[in-house]
Amino acid sequence: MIYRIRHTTHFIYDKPAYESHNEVRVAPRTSPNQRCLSFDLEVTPKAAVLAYDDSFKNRVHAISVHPPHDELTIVATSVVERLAPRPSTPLRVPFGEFLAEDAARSAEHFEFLHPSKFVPFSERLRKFFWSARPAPTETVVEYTMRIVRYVRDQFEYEKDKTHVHSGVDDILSAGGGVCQDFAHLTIGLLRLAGVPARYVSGYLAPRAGVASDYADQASHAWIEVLLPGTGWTGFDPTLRSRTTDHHIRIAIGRDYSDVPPLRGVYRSAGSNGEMQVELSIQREGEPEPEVLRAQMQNQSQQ
Amino acid sequence: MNAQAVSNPVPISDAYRIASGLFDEMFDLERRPRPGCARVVADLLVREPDRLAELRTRADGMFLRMGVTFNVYGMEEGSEKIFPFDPIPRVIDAATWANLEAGLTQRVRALNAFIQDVYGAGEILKDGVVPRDLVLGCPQYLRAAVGLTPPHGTFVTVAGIDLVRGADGRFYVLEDNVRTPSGVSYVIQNRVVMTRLLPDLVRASGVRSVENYPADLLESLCELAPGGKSRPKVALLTPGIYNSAFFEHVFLSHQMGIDLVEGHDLVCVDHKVFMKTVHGLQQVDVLYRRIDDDFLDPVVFRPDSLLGVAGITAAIRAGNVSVANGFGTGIADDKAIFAYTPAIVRYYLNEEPLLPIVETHILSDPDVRRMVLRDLDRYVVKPTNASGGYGVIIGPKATYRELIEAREAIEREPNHFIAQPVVQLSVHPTLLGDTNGAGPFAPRHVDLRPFVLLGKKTRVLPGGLTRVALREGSLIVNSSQGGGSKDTWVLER
Repeated sequence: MIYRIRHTTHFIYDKPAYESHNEVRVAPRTSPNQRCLSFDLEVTPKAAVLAYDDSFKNRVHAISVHPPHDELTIVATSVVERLAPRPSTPLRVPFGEFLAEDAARSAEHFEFLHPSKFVPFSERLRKFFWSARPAPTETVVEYTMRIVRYVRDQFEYEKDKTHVHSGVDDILSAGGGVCQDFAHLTIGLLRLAGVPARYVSGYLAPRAGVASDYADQASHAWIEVLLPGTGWTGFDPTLRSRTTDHHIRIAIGRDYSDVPPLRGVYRSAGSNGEMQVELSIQREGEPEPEVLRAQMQNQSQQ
Repeated sequence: MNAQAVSNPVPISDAYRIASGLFDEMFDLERRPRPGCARVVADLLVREPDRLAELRTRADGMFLRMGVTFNVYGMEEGSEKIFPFDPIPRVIDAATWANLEAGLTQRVRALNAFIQDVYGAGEILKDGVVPRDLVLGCPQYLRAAVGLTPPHGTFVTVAGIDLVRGADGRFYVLEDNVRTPSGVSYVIQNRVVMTRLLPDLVRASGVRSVENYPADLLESLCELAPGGKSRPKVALLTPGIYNSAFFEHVFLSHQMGIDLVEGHDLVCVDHKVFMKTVHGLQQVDVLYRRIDDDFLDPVVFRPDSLLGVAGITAAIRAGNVSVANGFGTGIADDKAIFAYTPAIVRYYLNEEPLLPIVETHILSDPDVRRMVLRDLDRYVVKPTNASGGYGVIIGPKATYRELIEAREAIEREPNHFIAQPVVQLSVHPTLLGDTNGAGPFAPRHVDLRPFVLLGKKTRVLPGGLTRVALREGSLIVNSSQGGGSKDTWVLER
């Protein structure tokens, strides 16, 4: 399946901004089931753009705009071919057996097994884990599937309960959250069980003729789990399912803090910068769907 | 000069105590001066011991007039203090120094190779010589440094290696400082003062000069210029006047003839770094930064930091500016990594380490932890991610309550601590504060921080900073904890 994606980030400042420096992670990754056929980044006003790969091999674009400007627009256009995930049958390894070889895994996948900024192993998370912990006879894949469903059974999809800098404790106390929170919480429960889990930021392409429940989410987030035998496998805790050919991967990391679509600072005499995000995902051969919009605050003023 | 006294060294009087089980830097067990020390002993300690107090008073006056001061964190008022100076110099003979110099050069080259590898191919982690989880779990491991390739692969331009001398007379590495090591300005200033106080003794002793350090540092910095630019613009980036080493920033920038700048003096435009001047923007090629990684770029690290330069990480990646020391060098001087440094030397250089390290126990290993906790009062416990002597527990000197707290802290977060056996630091005759009692001077514990400049040429500043614990029996020599310093003389012959 081929998608044409247009991701627009638009800033409007009440007083001119200057010395604006941002890092964006908006270029889809090429991976076994996904190929990025083309990518283009357009910045207005004119900006210096430097591309590099970060420590997780995500493509980063560093954008520098020096002169004063009232608005800043970053348009990322990509064409991505997404193949249906190959059917795979993970090995049915029970936890008792799985944890026996924990030491080697702990060194090799350290970053995806340990607490991270938004997934601290807090008292609250540990308690929640205790109520859902795997039995020694449960297989790793069974536990993963159970946890992916369990998190969504326990927490409602609610937009305004958490924010972009929320960690696992926030969703646990708020009782609800968005895809980012479900991903963080699921990752926490997997890591505490000794299963390597990582955060994926990306786009969820709408299904033809089906109105999405999550249309207000311009960007989506899910997780990947290192399962015995099959390697990194995608799960979407928000949808309680495996990932599909509608999941377009942009970046991977320990949690959201490694992969924000945009992070940066600017100077301004004003006090307000408003960010609007527009996302259009068009499946090749189908008419352009409605554009999804969201407003966020992701730049810091210096 | 009294040639007689030099060629035929006289023992020191019985009033000076030679402690058993400690290495005295100046006297052997027969109370005779060690190699190279005879002239200082004869001229300063034997002939005119009463003059020492006067020398110190004159030295203090000079330091105050020169404005050689430092700040102590955690002190509310009057934060600028002069660094107490002891007028009895520490002498290192030429042969001893030659060994030290070789060992230091080897060590810093290996640490630099380690940093290059950790942020590059990661071979040492794949080969399991240093545990991958230890490196990645270290707070000093900087993901933003992954893939950076500074000119000539130089991450560590300036290193300060803390050495102690054990009872056996050997030098041991106590810790490495490869982030923003400070103290070199005292080395240079101590010599200026000593030369004024005792010009004849300095000359007659054949003391190797330290005055070239700023020129050597500048040369090493210029080598980092992007694209090998021949006359690069170099500036020193300071966090500002509240930093404990601000005096040094002023001193070094002045000596090198480069601009001293704060974050707000710089701006990034199109992934290049510029200095704001009255003549407009002037591009900077190399920054000698004395700001910690975390504060250097609010885009990548702490968005609340006002000390750094927004966008500088991208400018470094674009190859338009170099910073010294490079990003992420703290991974090599982390106290937990320290235990692996002999293996790091062997791995990269295929040589046996010339300088031994102080035995270091990693407390995350349950067996080791049990062994250490059993005899906690015999160890020095250090947090792995702090510096400046804060939070260090010295077992034999700790109170019962401090030991209990240390034990609890270790059991809670074993990864955050290492333990080292108490090293009996060597002692050196040091002028006492008040002179009632045995004599005007007595043995006090000292360490040594030599400075190494890495570049196309590796240069070791002859000598280094000798810090002395002025309180009797104290082992903590940090200036922030009541230590003083001595001039360090490396002899030409």
